[in-house]
Amino acid sequence: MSVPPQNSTVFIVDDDEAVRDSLRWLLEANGYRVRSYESAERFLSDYDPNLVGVLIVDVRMPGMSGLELQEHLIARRSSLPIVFITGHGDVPMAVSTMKKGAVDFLEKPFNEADLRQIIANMLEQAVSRAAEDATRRGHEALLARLTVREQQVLERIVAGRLNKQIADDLGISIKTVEAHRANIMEKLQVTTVADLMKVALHKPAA
Amino acid sequence: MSHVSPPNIPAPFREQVNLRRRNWYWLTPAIALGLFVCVMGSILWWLDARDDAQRYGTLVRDVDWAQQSVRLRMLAARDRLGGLAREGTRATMTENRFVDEARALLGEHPEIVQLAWLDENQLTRWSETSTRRGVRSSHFEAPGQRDPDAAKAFDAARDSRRGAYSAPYQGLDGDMYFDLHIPVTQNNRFLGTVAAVYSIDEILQQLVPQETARRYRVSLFDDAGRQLSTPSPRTAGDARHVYELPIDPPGNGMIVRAYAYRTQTETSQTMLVWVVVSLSAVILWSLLALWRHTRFRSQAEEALIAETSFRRAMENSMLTGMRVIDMEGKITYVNPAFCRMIGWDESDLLGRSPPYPYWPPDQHDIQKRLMDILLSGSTPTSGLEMDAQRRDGSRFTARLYVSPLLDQRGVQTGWMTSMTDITEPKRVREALAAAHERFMTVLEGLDDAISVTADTPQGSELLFANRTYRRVFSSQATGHDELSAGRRGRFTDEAVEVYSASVQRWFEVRHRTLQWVDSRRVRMQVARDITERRASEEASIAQQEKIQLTSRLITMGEMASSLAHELNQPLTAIANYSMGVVARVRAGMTDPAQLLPALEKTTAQAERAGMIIRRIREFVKRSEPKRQRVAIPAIVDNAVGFADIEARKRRIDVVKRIPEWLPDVQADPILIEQVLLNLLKNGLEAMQDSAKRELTVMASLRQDHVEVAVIDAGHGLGDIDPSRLFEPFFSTKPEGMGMGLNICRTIIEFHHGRLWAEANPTGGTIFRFTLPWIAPVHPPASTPPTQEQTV
Repeated sequence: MSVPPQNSTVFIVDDDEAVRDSLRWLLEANGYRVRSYESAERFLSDYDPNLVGVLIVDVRMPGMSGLELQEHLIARRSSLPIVFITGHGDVPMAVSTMKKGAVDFLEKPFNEADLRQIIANMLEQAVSRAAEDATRRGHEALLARLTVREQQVLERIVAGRLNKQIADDLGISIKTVEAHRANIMEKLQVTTVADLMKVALHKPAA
Repeated sequence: MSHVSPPNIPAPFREQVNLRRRNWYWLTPAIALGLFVCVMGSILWWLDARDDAQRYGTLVRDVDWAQQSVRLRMLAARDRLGGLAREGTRATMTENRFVDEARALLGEHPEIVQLAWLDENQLTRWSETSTRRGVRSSHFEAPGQRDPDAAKAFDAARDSRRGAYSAPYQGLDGDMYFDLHIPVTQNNRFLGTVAAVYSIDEILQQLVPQETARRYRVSLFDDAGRQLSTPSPRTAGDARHVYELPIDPPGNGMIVRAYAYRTQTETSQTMLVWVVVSLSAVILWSLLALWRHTRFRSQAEEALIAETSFRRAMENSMLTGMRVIDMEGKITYVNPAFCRMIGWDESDLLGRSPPYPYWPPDQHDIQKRLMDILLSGSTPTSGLEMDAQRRDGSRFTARLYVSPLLDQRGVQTGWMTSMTDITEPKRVREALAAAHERFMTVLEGLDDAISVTADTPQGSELLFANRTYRRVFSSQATGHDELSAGRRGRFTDEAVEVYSASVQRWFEVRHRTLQWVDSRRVRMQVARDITERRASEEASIAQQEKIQLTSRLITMGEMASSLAHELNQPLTAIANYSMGVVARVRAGMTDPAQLLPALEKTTAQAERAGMIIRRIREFVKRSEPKRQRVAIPAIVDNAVGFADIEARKRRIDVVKRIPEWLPDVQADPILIEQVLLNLLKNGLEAMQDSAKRELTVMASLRQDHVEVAVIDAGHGLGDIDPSRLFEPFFSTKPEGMGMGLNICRTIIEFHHGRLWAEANPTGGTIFRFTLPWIAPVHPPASTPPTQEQTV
């Protein structure tokens, strides 16, 4: 049994109180931090995208179903991994849910080993995704500091154009381009062009 | 004659004027002719009288002259004879001398035809006869035979010793003669006479001048009025032109009388008279001809006047306004009706050019355009419609008919327009049109498709269709045939639901027979589109069926599916709690205060699972069929009764073939009914598009059971294995749950029967189920025949 990561949480959404409570009991016994919700709506109102964790949700629920909850999370650009609890999951549903992101399935009643394995995998994914998200958000914050002109120059650097060509494109002198370039490097806290490219390419496509 | 006569003179008065004028007209030439004849007569008479006087004067002069010349010759001859007589007394006188002398004298005086020397005894001594005239005998040969009148002259000469003339006498040749005796005396002794015989004819021929003889008939008469000279063959003129004078010598009452011959002047005068007469006759004839012609003319005129008055009366009494305009649009004629219609007098209108006074002031442009159309001759035969304004300002609508006005030579001189006031007809027509439009608006605005058809030998003929119908069946010519759904010739008021394949919609169709405008019996169809209503009905029926099924026919399979989920919940919870406890104990966390609540909860979940299982058992007990003795025909009747509504909508006949007698079965009638109803509905749905529209329900007695068969003529099973139909969740219907037949089989098998399907040899599918029969209370008398019944 691996040691669960410090900052990760397991979210449980199930309408059946007994199932919800027993699962919490089981996961807490395994050292996980658990938050349980009786409905998808409750979970969504409480959800913080910055929290790293895994979501375990019942497919069949009155009100918003598990599948609908997945749609909502995708709409919020959440990278939260999801595990569906199902009585009798069928193939088309599985395919459609898996295409939409990181998911797995648990059939009732649960096998403890399977449960631990799935949660561990999912959490690992969640942590790496969270780190990636943090880097990306950092890069985006840095890029946001650039002026409009600097962004134009950066686009052309990424596109592989020379200073002279950039000057011609934008109707400014080479000296100015070089000055912009220096400012960009400073603002993005990079020293090499390779690093500059890494930062710039994290930016979502315009 | 102008076609516009002065209209203010009444016709009878005009006629009198004409008659009076005609009388004067006739008197004048008659008087003139009379005067002419009188004057000509007077002139002729006067000319004649003057001519007569002139001619008479000439006659007198000529006769005077002739008488004078005769007298002078006679006197001259007497003198010569006197000389001869004196010579005779002398001795020298011999016969020869006398003959010579006589011959000379006869030659000088041709009027004397014989000279003779007579002695005192009146005997001839010598005589000489003229040779010029054929004197056949001597007048002095036989004195005794001589005319006594002639002899008297001798005696007178002897006695008076002077020459004496005898009275005329007729000679032997018939001509008239007279004698002159000159006495020969010597010493107063009478010796005889020298006698000369004068021929009266010769006197006239020789002594009267030629000119006079030619112009007059001159003749000699004695005192007794006897004509002495030979009458001329030429006829004498009338007595007015006669003149007579006594002629002396010879005296003895002899007179010369001259008649003027008809002269040339007289003839020309007569001719003049005749010319005048004939000219007068010609004038009279021509006057007569003129009179006859005039009488003909006047008759024609009277007829014309009568005709004109008739036409005028017609025009005046006509209600149509007549107007004549010339080629430039100037009004040349209007009739009283026209004036009445527009309220203007004739005098206001005649000679007017556009714009006319009756044009509404605000429509001059329109009227001008109409006028141009009229003058260009392109007026439609149906006339023009225009507004007109009366003098008092009120308006009316008029219809104008225009025709070209031709004169007697066929040349167009203008346009004849007749105008009728169509305000009232137009109002009526517009009211009718408005009513019709309202009616049509209602009819067209209806959402129901309304059509009127008539049955004809060739099919049904579409007589009327409203907008909805046209919209729905725009491209189909057979819409009404589809809607009548084969009810041609049959008329019912029942609403029928009909599916139109051409437009793929359902209609509720009501039929009604009507008497059409041409008095034909026709069918009116009111079709309401019920596709949506039907869809929702069907949806609700399907819903209802599902509810019925779940409430009445929950199967163990469905229960199992539902209960499995129910049971999973507590089992999952129990497992979770147990695994959690195990994990904690392993980790050494054995604090009872922590573990006990979980174990208690586990117990509670186990109890929950037990409750669920108890509920299942209770349900199974409750839903067990209630079997009883039932008759199969009653079940079939009920099921078919339910299905019949559906069948009628789909226009499918359900045919029951059930023997009169069947043994009862031990069954839950409601469940069996549901099974049969399910099979019937499947059959009806399968026959949706079939040509054969008959669904058969057949019941028959088998060895130890009753068999019920539902035989459809639907699409059949195709290559589907009939046994698969009864698997759960297997369905050939798009909306099917796939539970129906499965449940049915469960029910039948629960009743110890069988349910199976097989292909219908004539197309479609046959579902059969069997139920074991139980011993009848009253066994049948005989084997019952099969009864056929059509619903």
